[in-house]
This record gives sequence, structure tokens and C-alpha cells, in this order.
Amino acid sequence: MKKISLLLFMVLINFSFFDISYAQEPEKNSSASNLAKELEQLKSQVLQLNLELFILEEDLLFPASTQVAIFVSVDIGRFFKLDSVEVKINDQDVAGFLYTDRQRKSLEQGGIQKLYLGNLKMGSYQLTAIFNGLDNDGRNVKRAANYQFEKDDESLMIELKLVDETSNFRTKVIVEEWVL
Amino acid sequence: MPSIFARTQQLNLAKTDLAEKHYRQTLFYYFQGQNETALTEVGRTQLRLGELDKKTSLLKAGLQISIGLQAQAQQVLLAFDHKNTANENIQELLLVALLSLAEQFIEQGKMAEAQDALSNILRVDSRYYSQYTMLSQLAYWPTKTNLLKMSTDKLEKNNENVNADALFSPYIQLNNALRHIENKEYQQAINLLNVLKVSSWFSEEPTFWQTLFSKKLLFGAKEYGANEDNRYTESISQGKQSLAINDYARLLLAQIYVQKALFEKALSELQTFPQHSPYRESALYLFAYSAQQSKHYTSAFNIFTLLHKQYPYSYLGWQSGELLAEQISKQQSLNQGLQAYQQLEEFYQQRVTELSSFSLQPFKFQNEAQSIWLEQALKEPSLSNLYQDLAQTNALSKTIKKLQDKSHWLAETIALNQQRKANIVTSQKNNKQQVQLNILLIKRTALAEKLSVALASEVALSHGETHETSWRDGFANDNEQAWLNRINKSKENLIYLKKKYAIDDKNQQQSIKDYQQRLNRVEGVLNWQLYQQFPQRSWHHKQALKIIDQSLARVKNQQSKILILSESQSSLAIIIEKQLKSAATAQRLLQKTQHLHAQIIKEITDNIAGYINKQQHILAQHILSTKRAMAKILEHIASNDLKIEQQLELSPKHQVDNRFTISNQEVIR
Repeated sequence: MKKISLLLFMVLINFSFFDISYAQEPEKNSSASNLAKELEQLKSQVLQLNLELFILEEDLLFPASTQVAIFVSVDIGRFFKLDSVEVKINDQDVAGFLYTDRQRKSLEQGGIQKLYLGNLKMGSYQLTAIFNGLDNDGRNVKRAANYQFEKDDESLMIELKLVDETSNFRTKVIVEEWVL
Repeated sequence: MPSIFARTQQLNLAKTDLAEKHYRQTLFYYFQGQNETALTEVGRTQLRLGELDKKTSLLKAGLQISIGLQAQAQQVLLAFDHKNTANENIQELLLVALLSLAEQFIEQGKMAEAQDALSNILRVDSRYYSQYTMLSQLAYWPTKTNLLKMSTDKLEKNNENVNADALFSPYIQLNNALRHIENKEYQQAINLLNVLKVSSWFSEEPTFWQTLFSKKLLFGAKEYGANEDNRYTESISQGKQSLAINDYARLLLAQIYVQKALFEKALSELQTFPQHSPYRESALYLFAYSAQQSKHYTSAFNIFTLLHKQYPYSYLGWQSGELLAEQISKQQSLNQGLQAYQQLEEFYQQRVTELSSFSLQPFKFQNEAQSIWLEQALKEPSLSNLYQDLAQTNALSKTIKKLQDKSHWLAETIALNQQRKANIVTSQKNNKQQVQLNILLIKRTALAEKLSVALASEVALSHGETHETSWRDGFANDNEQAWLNRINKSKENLIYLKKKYAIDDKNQQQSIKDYQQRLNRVEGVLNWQLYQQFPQRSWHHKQALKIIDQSLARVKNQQSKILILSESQSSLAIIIEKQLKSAATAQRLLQKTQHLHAQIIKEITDNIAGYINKQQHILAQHILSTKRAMAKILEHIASNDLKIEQQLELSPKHQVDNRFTISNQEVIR
């Protein structure tokens, strides 16, 4: 009887939402814990390496003197359900993106997407952005913006913002050049 | 044509909040469940901006927790200056982060670390109080700890129920009941469990930060997409949790009744136990055991048989077999009991044989489906954790190999860049660009001088010096210049003619005078035309000179840049150095991962060996107890036989009567 009860108690304890049976086996856990620590350190080092290579790639391929980055954000997206975007610089297609629901929601929740990273020589350029999407009635809608900009020898960041206009229940595109 | 908005934006020259922009870029990845990419983005922000603001630091800690970097997250969180963090939002985020960290440590059995994380909490508001209490219970289990008092904000001060609600969380109550059971305070435990078994709960919707820091909730976030579906799934999961708590409370109640030998109560508690509950196996066992103890033999027999057949690899299944055999030997006949024990022994032996053959198999990753014993072994949390670690090392190896490829590709790109640079230097040497530039500069200087002479001459002319004609040079077009050349030629001819013919040759002198007058008239008309054009043309020349100056300046600038780039190798040298370093790091990390992989496999193998030993030991105990039971039965049979024999020896008439009585007794037994 005693044996059964003990066994039962162990089994029942195991059903606890947080398994406390670990605490009863400290010795057995110590080597596993060391391995877990090592694994964690390794994971962290791999992430660090990934970051270093990422930065290296960016520095090598997109030096600040020629770097141009284009970002997309949505605020709040009540009147326009973003489907895709096309971006042209001097009438040349440079970027296009087709959004999944999840990516669209990520933007609507406040995320900013880096849409394009490229190189441009110094000079004047014309940027054209065309956003395709659906309005609240499910009709296809396009929103576009033109923007003239100068590229000097500093990196240039341009944000394309889709902003709701409550006055006319439409969404407009605002182009913001980040001041670095 | 720039838009109105764009122009407005351009006018606004206030510096962009780059920290916020980077934070939102991280969020873009986070909301898609790409936590590693989000963490890389945070790292990039830190490198680009130098330091992180508090919000991003907390986001970083959350991301670290979510991908299992607890130690790093703990460093970030514990380094946080709580007292100087007046911002309530930041305080809340910190609390959520520490609670989540503690939760993860508890899940991994790291109780000391969990206690550490909890001790860093300085205030807890009502929304998180139940979570805090529950985690404290688990971290300090079985001892009781001094909890912080709940801090209430203005809105909640009027609501007295908040405190009660927080403390009546089902998990806290369950843990309290377990503690009462542990301390043998059964009545208090029963009172609590009686309430818990019929109550229902609805947990609050998690906040953004709770979602960020909680792995479980994060899993939900991965399913993100169809909001309505999610809510439906969420509500089902909440309902299931509530039911699971009810079932668990009922099971604990039944266990207390069994411990107190109140078998009828245990039976009535478990009679309506749901068939699909996660605690079905234990409930069945408890029910069968209680039925057996309270002499409901048929139910006990049926359920023990079911358990034994349905759970051939579980402790309760094995135990059921023994209880079943015991019941058969008591309820039916000794021979049937013996037969049942023999079958049971065979069953245990079969398990032992299976275990032995399993122990001889070499361990292979992702092979768990092929062996029922490996599947069973993986139910042990420590082994399951190791198995997950192994999967992670495999994933890490793949990632490192990808990074090595990337590093290799970068090396190739650097080599191409070097080649390009060398080509530029060579072409620069071949083209003698500096000589060409110097020639252009000389030409430009000559043009500038010509312009200044022309301008000075024009000024002199305007002051009445009519003989001044140098202003015309360089401002006439081709046609006009041809005319000017012709006029000059004619002038020279006239001078020659004047010298040739004597002064007294009146006819000739008259002709020369006519020629001179005609030439002066033509020259006057041309001068007038040129003078009319002069302001416009001199302005054009000035502009052209300006443009030439600008172009030359640009060329000079470009040339000096090329010169610097071609002469200095420093920027590329830094990149090369970094690339080489990263390649070496990748190689080192790969070796480390392989080493760790081998270590984990060894640990898993050891653990499996330990598990096999443990199972073999338990099975051996079962075999031993089965053999003892069989021996007892055989003893009984022998003693019965002896009694019969003795009776037979006493009288043949008696012998027949006795045999009849004994077999009846056997049946009753």
C-alpha cells in the first residue's frame, strides 16, 4: 500500500505544470546543465558571428558614401490593405515586394521594413513608389508618390509611409528622408 | 517634381530618432516570429548607434529569452537600474521579463537561478501577482517564501476583488493543495480541491510584452495570421486548461481518499472522470485500485485488464498486472492465479528482453519513432531536454556552415574589389590623367585671361578710347571672326599700298582714301554688331568659365579620391582582417559544435543506459514479486494437497467429503 501511494504521488507530482522532479536529481542534472550552458554560449557566439558577417557584408557592398536605403511603414492601415509595392529610381525598377498577411500585419503593428538597400552615385534622382492594395470595400487601389532627392557622399535613408487620412477615409503616401 | 509632403519633410531638419526607427525595424521581424533575425537587428542597432535605449534593451532581453539565451538575458535584466527607472512602462516590462526568465529557469529545473530572477523583482502589480506567486511557490518548493506585497495603482485601489482574484488563481490553489498534502494537512487540501474541481477560469489576454517573453505564447504568435481563428484556438486552449485543472483537482482528491483508505469516496470522485483527460491513466489506476479495495471486484478486474493491455510500457500498467493477478488468485482459483502470474512473468521477461536488445542498438538521432523504448525514454524530461539540445547543435552546425559559405563569398568579393582597385590604378597610370588635367588647367587659365583682357578693353572703350579693339577677341562667332580677319588683312593691304604709292600720286591716294573709308564703315558696322552682342556673350563666357571651374574642381576631387583609394589599402585591409577573423571564428565554432554534439550524444547514451538500468531494475523487482507470489500460491496448493492427502489417509469416506470442501474453499478464495 505504501509503495503504491509513493508511486502515485510521484506520478501525480509529474503532472504538475512545472515539473519539479528536476530539483530532486541535482547530480544528474549538473552535467546536463553544463552542456546546456555550453550550448547557450555557442548559440550566442554563432549569433555574434552572424551579426559580424552581416555588418561586414553591408560595409563591403554598400559603403556609406553610396548607400541608399528605402523603408516602408504603415500607420495604421485602416483604409488600405497593403498588397504589394514597386519602387523605381529614375524610372528603373529597383525594388518590389509582395506582402503576406503576416508581413502586412507586422507593418500595421508598427514595424518598419527595409525594402531596398543599394548604391547610388552622387547626383539628383527621382524616386517613384507605387503601392497596390485593397480599400475597405475590397476594390483594388493604387497609391503613388514621387520624390526628388539628392545623393551626396553620406548614406541616404528614405521612408515611404502609408498614412491614414481620417478626413477623407483614404490613405496617402508620405516620403520622409531621415535626417542622420 | 517633389510632393508637397516631401518638401515639407525636407524643410523639417530635426534629426530623425534613429533608435526608434531601428527598434521598429526589429519589431517587423519580431512580429513575423523571426526572433533570431530580430536579435541580429538589435545587435546591428547597437553597433551603429553605440548603445541601446531602455526599451530596445528590454526587447533584446525578451528576444534572448525566447531563443534560449537566458544567461545573457539575465545579465541584461539584472544590470538594469531598477530604482532609477521611474517610467512605469519600463518597470512593467522589467517585471514581465524577470517573471518570464524565472519561468524558463523553473522549466529547466534551475531553481537557484529562478530564485535569483525573482529576488530582483521589487514591486508587483495585481495583473502579474498571481504569476509571481505561482512562480515563487515553484521556485522555492517545498519551503514557503516571503512574497512581496501587491502594489496597486490608482485605478485598482477601489477594486478590492483584485487581490482576491490574483490569489485565487487556480495554479496557486493547486500548489497550495499540493503543499497541504505534503504536510499531511488533508482537510485543508480537500477543501481547496473541492472548490477547484468545479470552478472555471478565463485567463486575461496576454500583453505584447508577455507574448514577447513567453515561449508558449510565442508559439501562438507563430500561428499569427488569421486573427479570428487564433482567438477560437486560444479560447479552446483556455477551456482545455480549465478542464485540465478540474481533472487534476479531482485526481488529487481521489489520491487523498486513497491515502486515507476512503475508497468509496475515491470511487465516487472518479466515477465521472472524463475519458479524454490527460490524467486518464492515473485516474483509471486509482479507480481500479479503489474498486478492488472496496470489493467491487468486477470493475477492478475489467479496469486493471484494460490498463495492463493499453499501457504495456508504463509503471501503472505493470503494477496493474500484478494487482490483477493477485485478484485472480484470490477471486478465482489458485491455479488460475498461478497461470496469471506466469503470464505476467512472461510479460515482464519480454520487456526485459526488449530492453536488452534496445540497449545493444547504437543511438541514432531522429530514430525515436523506430523504438518504443526510445520513445518511452524521451518522456523523461532530462533526456528530452538533451534530445532537444542535440537537435539544436545540428541546427547550429547547419547555420555555421551557411555562415562559412557567406564568409567565403565575402572573401571572393573582397578579392574582386582588390582586382578592381588594381585595374583602376593601372589605368590611371596609363592614361596620365594628371598631365591631361594640367593641360586643361593651363587652357582654362588662358581663357580666363582672355576674358579679363576683353572685359578691361570694353571698359576702356566705354570711356571713349575708340582705338581699343581687343574686347572683340574671343567674342566673335566664326562668321564675324572671318570678317574681322578680312578687315585686318585689308588694313595691312592699305598700309602696304600707302607705302607703295607716292604722296603726289593723287589718283592712287584718293582710291586709298576711299578704300580706307569703306573699310572703316564696314569695321564700324561690325564693331557695332559685336558691341551689341558683347554683354550677352561676355556673360555666357563667364558662366562657361564657372562651369569649367566647377567641373575641374570635381575632377580634381575625384582624382584625389581615386588617388587616396588606390594608395591607401586601409579600409579594405580592415575588411580583409575582419573576414579572416570571421572565417577563423566560424571554423572554431564548427569544431566546438561538433565537440558539443559528441558530448551530448554521450550524455544521451549514458542517460539511456541509466534509463534502461532503472527499467530493468523495476522489471526485476516485478519479476521477483511475481515469483514470490507464485511461490506463495504453489505453497498454498502444496499445503492444500497435503491436507487432502492427510484426510485421505484418515478415512476414504472422509477423504471424499474433505476434497469436496477444499475445492469449494478454493473457489470462494
